[in-house]
Amino acid sequence: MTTAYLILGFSLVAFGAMAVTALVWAARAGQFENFKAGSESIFDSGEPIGEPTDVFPGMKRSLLAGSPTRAMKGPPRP
Amino acid sequence: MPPPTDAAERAYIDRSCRAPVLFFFGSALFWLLVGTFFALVTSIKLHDPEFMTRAPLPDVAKFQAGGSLNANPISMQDVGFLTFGRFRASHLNAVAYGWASSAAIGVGVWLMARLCRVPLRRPALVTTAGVLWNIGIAVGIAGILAGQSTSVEWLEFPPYAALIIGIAYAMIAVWAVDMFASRQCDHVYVTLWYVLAAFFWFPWLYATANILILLKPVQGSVQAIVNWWFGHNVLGLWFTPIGIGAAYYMIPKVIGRPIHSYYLSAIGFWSLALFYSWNGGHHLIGGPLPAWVITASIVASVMMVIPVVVTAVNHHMTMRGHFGMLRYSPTLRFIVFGAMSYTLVSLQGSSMAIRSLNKISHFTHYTIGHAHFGLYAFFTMVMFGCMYYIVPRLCGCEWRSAYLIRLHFWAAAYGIFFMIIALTVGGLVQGLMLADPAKDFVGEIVPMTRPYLVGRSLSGVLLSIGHVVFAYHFILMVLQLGRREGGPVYFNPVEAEVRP
Repeated sequence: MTTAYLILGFSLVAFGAMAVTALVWAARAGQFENFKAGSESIFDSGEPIGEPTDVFPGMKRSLLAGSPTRAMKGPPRP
Repeated sequence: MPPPTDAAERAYIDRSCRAPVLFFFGSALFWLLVGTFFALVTSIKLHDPEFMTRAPLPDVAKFQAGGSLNANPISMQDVGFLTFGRFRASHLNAVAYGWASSAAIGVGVWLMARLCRVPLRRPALVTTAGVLWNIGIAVGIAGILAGQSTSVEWLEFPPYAALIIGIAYAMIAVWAVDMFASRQCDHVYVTLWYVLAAFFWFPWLYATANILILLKPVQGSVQAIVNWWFGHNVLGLWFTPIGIGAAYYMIPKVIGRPIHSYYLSAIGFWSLALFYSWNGGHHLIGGPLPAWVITASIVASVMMVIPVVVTAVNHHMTMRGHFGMLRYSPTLRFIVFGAMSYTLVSLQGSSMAIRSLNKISHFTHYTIGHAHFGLYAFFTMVMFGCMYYIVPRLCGCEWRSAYLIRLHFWAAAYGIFFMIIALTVGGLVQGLMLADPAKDFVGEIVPMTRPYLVGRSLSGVLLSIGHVVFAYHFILMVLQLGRREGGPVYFNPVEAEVRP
């Protein structure tokens, strides 16, 4: 029983402690310094900002590329 | 040698994930179909309790000839594995661990490789974990059907199956740490935080709960709190981070626009990480626990409004002006449906933790509606959306048919919508009636719920159609029967157009 309660206590405390440690590490590592660059880090020259990357199969893709308004007017359904 | 261009690097990384991720997706879909079968039978049994275990009609001719009327008795020993208690637990475990978790691991593995910008490391470790994971689930479900369920909700798998699953998952966690440590990116994108955290949290939760309930059981009501600490954290610290993390990657990526406020996404993640694990106690409102434990849990549950609203506002503002794209992107359609459901189901969940509503909704179909709202309308839809994006990039061909994708989407969307309506309305009426001591349980309350339960079974048929269609479509992709026109870069619309 004592072992069980030790595990329980360890789990609950360590759970929070790990989250706090990760948060402190992230802040020290500069993860919260440049939000703009962070949000743009998933785009690159191959898939730049402003370019959709998914359409229904068989749909004319060029109509989608470019501005959102063009995408909204949209190509005909295949 | 590093690949020459960003696009080539991405294609290289995607390809490195191919075998393990397709294996996880394939097995996820297999368990989805198995879980759907259990679900349909379980649902029908709720309004037709003898379904599949009905004794054959007595042989009248034999009776007239002087034989016994009860000539064909049905023995519970023969049909025990077909009864509600075992099927319901099998359904839950098949869809929660077999479908949802396998899909989550597949999506998480792919996202980690992409966001760490390294080709998949130790693919053999991931695939071995996948094989073990599937063995664990198969053994566990066989154990439940054989009557060896532990009867602890969300942990029904017998201990020997839980051990296999725990080892498999620990292997995934080790792999995730290895991937993260060898990442080639300076910035840790918000999705990577979510996925890494989920891969780290789940084995912790699973091991702790199994040790404290099955291996070295704590006594009495402490078991209940451990049970629901685990049960709710599986949703909040395993499925939710994978689902939300995937949405934070897929929505910007598909529409080609960065997240509206990266700052808000950071707040959303860290508030979830720091406060979510308090939530489980709200399952035990009215239960045999100190009142302060439950009150603390209610406060934490209501506090969850913060990360939820933050995420909802962020996703909405990112999508603003791009909603027209829902018509043209299968991935976006499923994921936005899922993200909107996440907002609604989370706010509903916070409200259900409040004592005055909980006293009506607890122990009614309302709760079941909430569970399906979360795991299907939110999580499963997000996973479908991710698979529509990931599978073509792994298989190198495009989905075969836009019609089948639309059929899948509308079957799933209408199916889950009707299921939630039926269970929510039916559950509310049921709860109000149960709270009224003048109402007769068998005579009034049970017949009242019947039409809602029939409606739920019908909505389940719609969902099943969607699942079969998607599984068929997936098999076509794995067999390389997808579309190939449009040049080699199927996954980059502009390049595909430009190239002759």
